[in-house]
Amino acid sequence: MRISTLQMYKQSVQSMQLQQSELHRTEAQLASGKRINKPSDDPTGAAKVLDLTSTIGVIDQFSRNVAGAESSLAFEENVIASVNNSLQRVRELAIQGNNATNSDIDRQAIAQEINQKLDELIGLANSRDGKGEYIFGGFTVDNPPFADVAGSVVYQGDQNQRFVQIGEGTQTAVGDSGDRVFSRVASGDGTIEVVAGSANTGSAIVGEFGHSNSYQRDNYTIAFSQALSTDPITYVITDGVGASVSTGTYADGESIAFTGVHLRMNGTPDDGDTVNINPSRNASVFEAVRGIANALSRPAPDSTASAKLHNEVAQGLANLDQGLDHLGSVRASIGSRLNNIDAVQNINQDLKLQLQTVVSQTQDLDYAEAISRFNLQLTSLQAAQQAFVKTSGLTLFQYL
Amino acid sequence: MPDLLKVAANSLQSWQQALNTTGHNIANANTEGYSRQSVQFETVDARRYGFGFVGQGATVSSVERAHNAFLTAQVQELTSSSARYELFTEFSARVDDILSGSENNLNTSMQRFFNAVSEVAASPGSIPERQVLIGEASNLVDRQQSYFRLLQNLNENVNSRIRSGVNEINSLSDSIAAINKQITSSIASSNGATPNDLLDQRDRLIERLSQQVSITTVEQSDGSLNVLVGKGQALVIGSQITHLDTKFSDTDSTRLEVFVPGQVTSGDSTELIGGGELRGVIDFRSRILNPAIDKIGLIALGISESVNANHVNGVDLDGNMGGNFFGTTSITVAGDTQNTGTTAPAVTLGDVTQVRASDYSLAYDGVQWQLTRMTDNVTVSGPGPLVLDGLTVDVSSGVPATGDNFVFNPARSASGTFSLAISEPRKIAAAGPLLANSPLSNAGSAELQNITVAPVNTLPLAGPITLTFNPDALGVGVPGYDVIGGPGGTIAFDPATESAGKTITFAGIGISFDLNGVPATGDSFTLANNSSAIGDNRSIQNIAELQFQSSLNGGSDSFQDFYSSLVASVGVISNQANENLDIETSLLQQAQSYKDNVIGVNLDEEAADLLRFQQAYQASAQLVKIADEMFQVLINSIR
Repeated sequence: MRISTLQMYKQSVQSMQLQQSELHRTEAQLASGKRINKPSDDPTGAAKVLDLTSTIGVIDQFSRNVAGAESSLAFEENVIASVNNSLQRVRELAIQGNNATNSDIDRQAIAQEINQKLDELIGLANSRDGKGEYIFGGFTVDNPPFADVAGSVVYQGDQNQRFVQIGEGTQTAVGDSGDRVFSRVASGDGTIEVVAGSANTGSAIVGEFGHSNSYQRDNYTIAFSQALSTDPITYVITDGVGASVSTGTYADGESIAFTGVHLRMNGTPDDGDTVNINPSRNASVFEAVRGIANALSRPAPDSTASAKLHNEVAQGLANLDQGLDHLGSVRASIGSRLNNIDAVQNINQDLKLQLQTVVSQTQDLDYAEAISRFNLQLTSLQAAQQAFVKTSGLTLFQYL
Repeated sequence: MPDLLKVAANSLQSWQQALNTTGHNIANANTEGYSRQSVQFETVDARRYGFGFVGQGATVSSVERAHNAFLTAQVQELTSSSARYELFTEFSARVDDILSGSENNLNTSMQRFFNAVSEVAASPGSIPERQVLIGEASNLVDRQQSYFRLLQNLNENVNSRIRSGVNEINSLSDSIAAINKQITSSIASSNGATPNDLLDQRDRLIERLSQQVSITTVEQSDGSLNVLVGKGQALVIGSQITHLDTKFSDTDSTRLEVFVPGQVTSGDSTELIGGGELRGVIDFRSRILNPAIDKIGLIALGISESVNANHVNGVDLDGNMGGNFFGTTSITVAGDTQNTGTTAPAVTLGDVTQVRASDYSLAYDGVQWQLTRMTDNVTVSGPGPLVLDGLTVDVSSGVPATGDNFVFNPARSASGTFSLAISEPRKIAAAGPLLANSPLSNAGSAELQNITVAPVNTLPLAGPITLTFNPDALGVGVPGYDVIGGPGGTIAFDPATESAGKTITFAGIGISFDLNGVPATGDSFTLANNSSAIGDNRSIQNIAELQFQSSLNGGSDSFQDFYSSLVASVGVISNQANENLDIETSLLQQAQSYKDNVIGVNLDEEAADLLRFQQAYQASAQLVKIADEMFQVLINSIR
């Protein structure tokens, strides 16, 4: 076959250029450490890397959110633990103050300490986080959520919770509104509360009380009557509209039961004394503490005042116990959120590691393979160059 | 003796011609497109004697060039197809590079933007996070605009490449026509002898022309060559020339098209340009460049529309309803310059998730309008307004004429007009518009939750809305909530069956919320405008959620998915083009080497010829000597 001399040169040059460009590509891969330098090198791989990289970016953001949520929740839990301690101390003081052996002065000293605890509690409820935001204000983070206005602690925040995203489709609340934590504590036993009439003159003290499933929600009143001091003490129980529900004869320490409610009273009620059994209402822990402090700070010179004291302290203690239970459930909810965050964080970290591995497998260069390829390409380019030099020197004109 | 001398002289002359031609071959050994020439000898007619015929030597009959019409045509065709892929890959590599910048691509910018949104959602009241969000948003805007500029520059490159290509085609047509003329007159004047070097020259011009555009050639009996493009459009007929020209499309003032002046054009250059470099750039424009511009534009449109839709329903740090976060863009409709009606269609964008990265065409057929999505020819028709892909086209203004045609592309310029509408961190509307409140006196377990705001709403509220539970709200024994403020009236809610949750919608105001739990009589909720809750992140949280929602391309892709599918599709197309280029190039090289092996000069062969002809020349010279000696012998013998 005849070969054109020009073609011979062109072909050699073309093949050297081709080998050079392959060599250059391998060199670029070696320099960048990446197998994919342009999307067209491996379109599906490049798109996969983009997808995975953005997923990793999202996971990083979730991790930052988790860190923020974790510190917020841990801080809230600390504050609630302190609140719990203060309330326990108030509880001890209340029980101590409720002891009949105390003098008025002893009780006043106890009341003073409880009032200090109340200030401490309001301070805790107005805690601020590292950014200076009030943690119990709901969305209203720039004003103290609780204020002591004219002898009652009022909530000035809102009833919302801030959620942050910690995983795809997973949000977690990073706080709780003060309203929910401190103010919405169901009074009494959580369904009913028993309040002795404020004008009672007898020595009757409300003891343990409770309700069963047959309880019908209503405002009940027990009215005691005794025409003569020798007569037995009787009572009439009426509902919210004044209709009689039950009647009976009072005996000290005996249980009174009606429509699912039962309560025990000690002491002797006077004619006309009343006891109200109302559905529970939302009572703040501050109200409970303040109620106890106010009761203890009043002198109790006679049995009437003493009964009033014991009734009010007992009522406050019941509300306080409800508050402690309530705070316990708030803590449990924070704890479960923290657990959930940990679990999500673990999943996120595992996922990130997996994704990084896949990204690396997809786009990173296999150096061993690339270097041997580089050497092979180098050798074949050298061979092509040598062959070109040798063959191009061959011409018949040399011999003419 | 005179016979012998004549034979010798003829022979000397012939070998001299042969040596000349070999010299010509050697001289042109490196001339691109040169065809090896060879001298053809023929025997001179023998002289008749009584005993028979005596040969009279040889003479040159013609000088022929090595030529193979089939190989030449094959090279010409493969030149067109490899040039097409070469230009295509050259341009698409640039888009490839633009999209793949690993540190600062659009994907990274979107990621950083949404990360910043998420940071604000985590600390909505904090100014530094808001400042970062403004920074990242403006980075996203810059990235979009720089993509737009780079791609727009490429479009200008495409246009100037088309212009220069057409100029080159025209000037090559001129040259071919001129050579045609020379060749026909040479052939006519030289009694049919072929002007080899002119033919080579014309072949070279044809090859250069097929580099630009794919052509078909038809050789005429007079030696001239007709050149046609496309489906038989003549460029050169003998010495007649038809020039191509360029003009911007009737419906797109950035798209340059090739046409033949004086002929009705379909506006589609590919009818003329079937291959070659010009087809490469035109393909690049329609398969890579415009889809990339549209898709990136659709991302800009999607982000700006959906972020704005949430942002305007949020509340900023000063207690005001949010404005637009990103600038808004309007869709311009281009009317065909041939339109005779007066209709001025107006396009409004409704649901951005339904919009596609496509041209849409709007045509009036004399009876009704037809709106077509150009990428897959999905069509709706009617008297208008027409609704397709979340776009509403109002054609009520003006009077249409049959054949009127309009084109619009909602995404084409969206990256260019993408802008940031806020610069003040406090103006980021991170908070939700409404706050619900329940008084402490509520005795039941009822809750009001999940307030959501419809895209169309009349917020802020004129005044608070209070819902109070009433067992007889809708008549004795039919429980519900009495509503004061807002729409007023009552809402049916039966705690016995609906305590798990019921969604209530106030359509007039454009809000909805969930009620659940068991309320006690008189329990109430209040909905009021949110004016001070700086810790509220509900609105910005909705914006952060956009990152994960499939809110583009008919609800099938998220913003980032859509971008990576764009990168993948550009990659796949460039990759295919690269492979095609490799195949076409190696086919071209093969055909070229077959052709060159036939027509090219081999120096060793020429050296051998040189020796051969030199020896023959020497032998012929010896003939003269012998004839002379014979003549001397004869003279001497009779002296």
